[in-house]
Amino acid sequence: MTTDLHDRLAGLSVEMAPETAERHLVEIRRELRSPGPAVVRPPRRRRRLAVVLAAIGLLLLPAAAAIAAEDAVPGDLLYPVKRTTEWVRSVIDSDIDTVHRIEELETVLDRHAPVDVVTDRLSDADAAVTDHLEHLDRLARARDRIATDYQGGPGTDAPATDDPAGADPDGEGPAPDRERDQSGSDSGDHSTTTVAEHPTDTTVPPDTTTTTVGETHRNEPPPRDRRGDG
Amino acid sequence: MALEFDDALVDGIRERSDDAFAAVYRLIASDLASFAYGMVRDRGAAEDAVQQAFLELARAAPDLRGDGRSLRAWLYRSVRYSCLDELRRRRRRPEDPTEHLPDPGVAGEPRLADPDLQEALMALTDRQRAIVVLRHVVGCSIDDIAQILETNRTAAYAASARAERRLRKEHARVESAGVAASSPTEPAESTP
Repeated sequence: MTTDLHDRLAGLSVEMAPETAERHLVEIRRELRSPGPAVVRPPRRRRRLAVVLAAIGLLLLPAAAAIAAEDAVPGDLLYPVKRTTEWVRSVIDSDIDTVHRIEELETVLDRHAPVDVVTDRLSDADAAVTDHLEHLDRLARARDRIATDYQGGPGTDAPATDDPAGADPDGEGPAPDRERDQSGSDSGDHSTTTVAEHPTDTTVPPDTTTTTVGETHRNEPPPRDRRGDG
Repeated sequence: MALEFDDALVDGIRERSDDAFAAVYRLIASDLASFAYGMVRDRGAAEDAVQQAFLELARAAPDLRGDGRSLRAWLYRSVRYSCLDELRRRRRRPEDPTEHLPDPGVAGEPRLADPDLQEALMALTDRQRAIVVLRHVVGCSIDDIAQILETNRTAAYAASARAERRLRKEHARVESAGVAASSPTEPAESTP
């Protein structure tokens, strides 16, 4: 920079007028007497970091709430979160409701909760298991249709049961034990036999019902059995 | 920018003391106004930028870190951001080209002997203009400029050299354009 140009640039300097300075100082004093820094504008970098951290927090919050709600039972603050999470998961896994109701029952038992609370949980677990058994009924009916529609019909080659021993290994006709199943005598497969004889009967195979409910309610009689008794 | 704020003054600013703020204002307000005026070429906007810087300092004072040099750089940065906001506002709206030219008739408005130089200065980028004004109007060192622009000394030195080169070039261009524009009228005036 030439000296000439530098000197000319120096002519740009400004002196603050006394009245302007006084006006500014009054404003500054007023600001200093205010209760405090109400809103301090953070530097730009810090503001950007705060936005990023807030976004990460918003993303992690639902996950953290879902994890924290895992052991919640009705009445707990996070129980609605748990139910919402279950609803989402049930889209993938239909057994989730049954499993969770049973876990809740076990949780209140572990906590030595009052009898009315335990009764409520038991009732919910019962209902969930019953719903679950409805699915087993539908499965049994479906198996019955397989037995009737695909067994021995002309041109059908689908097996009547899942039993590998009953399959026709050489294609020369039904195996002897399968013939016995169809006649309704001497069959070990109760579900197939019962449903085939009574197409409208929704009775669940005894072996399946006993196993499921026995695991669920420990010493409680299975609800399906009770219904059958009544 | 040879003035220094001692530690007691910086502590007073942190404690939001009236006296400390008044002392700092009296020490640096004119330099800040010169810097702002060089950036926006408008006396009113320059004074507003200085006031805004001190109001922001009053709010941020308890969180202020560093020594007197940091405080001084903080104030220049605040004025620079206000000036950049003002320049952005002007670019967004259509404006009268004579609106921000210095008016020699207004008290306190600096009389620039060479308006061509001012035009050349406004032809620089905002960053280049800030460097030239800080270096040659306010009198900052390269180290001060580096701290104000939040860069290192080498980069500030290189940027300063580039800005001065471009200013000389723009000044020569404006001067030659002025000569070319005024030359056809001279024979007419000399002919009675």
